[in-house]
Amino acid sequence: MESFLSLVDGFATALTPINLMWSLVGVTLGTLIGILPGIGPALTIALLLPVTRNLDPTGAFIMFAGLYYGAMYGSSTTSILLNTPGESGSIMTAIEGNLMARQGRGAAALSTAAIGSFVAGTLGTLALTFLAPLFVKLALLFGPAEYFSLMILAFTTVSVLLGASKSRGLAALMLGLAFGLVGTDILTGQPRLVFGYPSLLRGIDVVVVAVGLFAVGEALFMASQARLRSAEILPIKGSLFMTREEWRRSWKPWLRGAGIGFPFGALPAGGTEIPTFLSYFLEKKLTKHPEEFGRGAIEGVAGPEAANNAAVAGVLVPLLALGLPTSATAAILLAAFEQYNLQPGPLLFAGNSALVWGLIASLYIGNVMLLVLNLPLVGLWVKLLTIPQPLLYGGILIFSTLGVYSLSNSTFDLVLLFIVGFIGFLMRRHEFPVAPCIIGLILGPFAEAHFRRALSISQGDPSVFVTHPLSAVLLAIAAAVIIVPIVLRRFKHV
Amino acid sequence: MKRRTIFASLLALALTAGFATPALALDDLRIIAPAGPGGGWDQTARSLSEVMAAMGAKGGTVENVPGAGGTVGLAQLIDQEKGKPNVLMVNGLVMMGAILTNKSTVTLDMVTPIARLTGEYEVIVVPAASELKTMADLAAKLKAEPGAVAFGGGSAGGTDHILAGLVAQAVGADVSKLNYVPFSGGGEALAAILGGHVVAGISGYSEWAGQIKSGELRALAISSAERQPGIDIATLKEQGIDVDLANWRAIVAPPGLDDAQEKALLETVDAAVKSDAWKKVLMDKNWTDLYLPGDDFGKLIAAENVRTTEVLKGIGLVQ
Amino acid sequence: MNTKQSIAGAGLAIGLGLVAIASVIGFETMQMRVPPSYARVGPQIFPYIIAIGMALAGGYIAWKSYRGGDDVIDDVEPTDWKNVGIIALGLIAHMNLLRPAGFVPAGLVLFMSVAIAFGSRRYGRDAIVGLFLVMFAYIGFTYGLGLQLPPGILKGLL
Repeated sequence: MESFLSLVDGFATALTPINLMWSLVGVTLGTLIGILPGIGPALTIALLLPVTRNLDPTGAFIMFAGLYYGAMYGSSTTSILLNTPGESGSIMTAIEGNLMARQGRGAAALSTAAIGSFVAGTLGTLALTFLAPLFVKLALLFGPAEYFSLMILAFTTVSVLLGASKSRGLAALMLGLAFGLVGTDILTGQPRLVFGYPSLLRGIDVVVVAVGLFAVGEALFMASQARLRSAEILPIKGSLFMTREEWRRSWKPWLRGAGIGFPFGALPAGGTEIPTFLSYFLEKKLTKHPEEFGRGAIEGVAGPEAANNAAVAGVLVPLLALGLPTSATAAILLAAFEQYNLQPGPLLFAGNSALVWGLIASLYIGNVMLLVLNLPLVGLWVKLLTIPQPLLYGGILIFSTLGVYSLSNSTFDLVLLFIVGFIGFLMRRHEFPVAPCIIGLILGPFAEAHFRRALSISQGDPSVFVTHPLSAVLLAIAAAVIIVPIVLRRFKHV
Repeated sequence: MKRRTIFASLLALALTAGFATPALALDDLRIIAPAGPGGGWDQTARSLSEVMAAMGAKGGTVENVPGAGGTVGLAQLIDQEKGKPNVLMVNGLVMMGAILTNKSTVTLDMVTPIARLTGEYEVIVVPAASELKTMADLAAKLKAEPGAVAFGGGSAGGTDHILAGLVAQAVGADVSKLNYVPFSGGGEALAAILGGHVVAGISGYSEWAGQIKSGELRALAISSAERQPGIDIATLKEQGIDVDLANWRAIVAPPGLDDAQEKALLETVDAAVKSDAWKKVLMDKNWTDLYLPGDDFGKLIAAENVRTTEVLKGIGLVQ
Repeated sequence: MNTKQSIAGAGLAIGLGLVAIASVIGFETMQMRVPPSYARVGPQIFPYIIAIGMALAGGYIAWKSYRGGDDVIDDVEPTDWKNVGIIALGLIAHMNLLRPAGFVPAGLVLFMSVAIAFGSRRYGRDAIVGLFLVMFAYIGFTYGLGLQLPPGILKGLL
């Protein structure tokens, strides 16, 4: 009840014309940078920090939050239409979404992404409003041992992405894991696989690999295939928006995606990518249309898109309640709080409740704005596909290289992008799946660091992974995910 | 009182001189922040550049060159900016550890030291529910069973790690048995401490000030030599552990400058640091003023290098 | 040369390439100097596991491609290597021109190379669209967001 009253006050703050304007600026800018591969919300907010120093903090945070949400909305657009994810949280969306677009259902994919993002974003915000203390407790239960077990569970999702040829899928996974090894070893500070290049000490950024494998790899592949170039992509086939059938198949994945995304966002080190892996895995396992996965299944778009938006709401839980940043963007938001001499945490709720609740209320408003902004644009976005390919892919590479260069103003990253792009081209040419590579790159370093941290804390005793109850439960689920289908198959054959 | 008036008149002099002095007419001044946007080095570079711009310096652009604890930026300063009189770079204690652990071929004795600007002190904390009530409890446990005290903190070889090593050394524990668990940024270390997954944590004070004030973390000690105004935490020295450590941030120039160029940069920085605008920056950002220009700063770098090398060797990170 | 044979050759090359990468990872990891740690598991274990996994996957692919079978890398559409080469050259030119010449000329070269590789022969239209796009990106990101893009030869003009 107390939260409810505070929320009403929050709406009073967020609904002032000036704050509505900041929200609109944030969501619009967020949608734009979400669409551009390589340029993410973390970088944008960091660059905006000096500009916003003299603004009223409430307005600035309302804008930043809108920007964060907006980036998640926008990133699905290029994933679906161009097979070029704007953010790493939308990589899973590209798999089924782009296949849908190639069949003329791009508008439906965009719609389910936008509505799913709205549903999940709103549910996530509700959870943030009323259940934050609960999730804060849950988040703190996760230590290194629990994280490692969670990563093992997340690795089981790779199984559905390996594709027809398991050896190729595994090779892609190993390649991703190998990319993840490069750089300074976090636990000992020792350089690993850097071959004497200081620029490699920082590691290979996920953005470089994602943009390389998707945008650059895709451009090279399209250019190399005369058939693909001449193939007409139908911008729209059938009705513009979602059919009744598509609605029916979307709503459950939205809710499940929200359910997975929010808690993950709330976990320190959860992020927006891993819940999208899990959501895709779950939808593929639960669908009544398994034959459509790999050919453009709407569930594979609805679930992950909902998951990444709910995760954004989740990220705000530990940030606001504990002052604990759980993603790169959250870390920049924390720096923004410090710029205003505000210290997130329990004291913030007490001392600056107008700001906190105004911010939370603005999330509801921002979500509505994004839906209103994005749904009518769906028809316009699909027109992107009617831009002549030479201009379209030229533009994609301009923004890809811009985004990668701006990661650290280094041409070295452009060299890496070129190499990874060529690998992506070879992978497409020889039908290696790309997604396991990204999963390996994201999960591998996490899994290793937490494994070794857990062992360091236990002074080398490996039993921690099963004596910690939560860790044991997660490992058991992971084991079940692997074993149960095998057992079921045996039964069917007998 | 006398000191204050001298200081004030110097300030006034610096301010009036600020607009006229040729030192500030440096063309196209660039400040390299050897880290990504948003962090401490970046903020230092941007604040300094703004203060200098307000005093009439031209250009004043900040260039982010992140990577490898700042050593990528350091390499650029030494290799590509050599002899350029209009380039400055922010650096700090963290870079020293990174140079050692990365076995970097470029080091801080190659640059032209200008001045130490600001700093921050480190705190050692335990979760509120911990049985360790004082620094003495922690020291006793560390001495008896070093492996059982898992410290959570920032990157390996960074300031937090260095402090853990110095404390272990000072209390007579076996430094080679220090159990330091590095976490990547983004609050992971904080979560591990709040959740009780590690025994103690080390970080810059401001990062965890909120949790300390709200009582979720108990601060056992601060790494400053003397008590800090407004911070009710006993120093390590007060509690019989002879360690003080500041996570300082400084400004350096490329190698190969002649005396006149070095002097010009020193004067520019001096004027900026003594301006009211810089004082406001320090106050707004809660940075501790540790201004130490010229040769004294050069000596500090040398002394810190000896101490850091010794402790990192003891830990086993550097051979 | 028939396609089938050259494709199996590609599979063999990819498989052996993976084995080669795996050996590099293994070899580099052996060179590491490892500080003591309570974890017992140092920074070398994961690289070894990954190297072994990659060598196995690569070896399997190579063997299958050599022997033939249902899991070979086959049936690839004819590849237009000339177009791949044009974009590759564009990317290489871009990374080399970016700092000395600046974002706008480098981007324009890249844009044109992609357009040509995609079969466009309307150079005038492409150049105008490309120039607009690159200038728009440069101005938008430099003045809107304060991104540090190299101005190059247009320094002072934009």
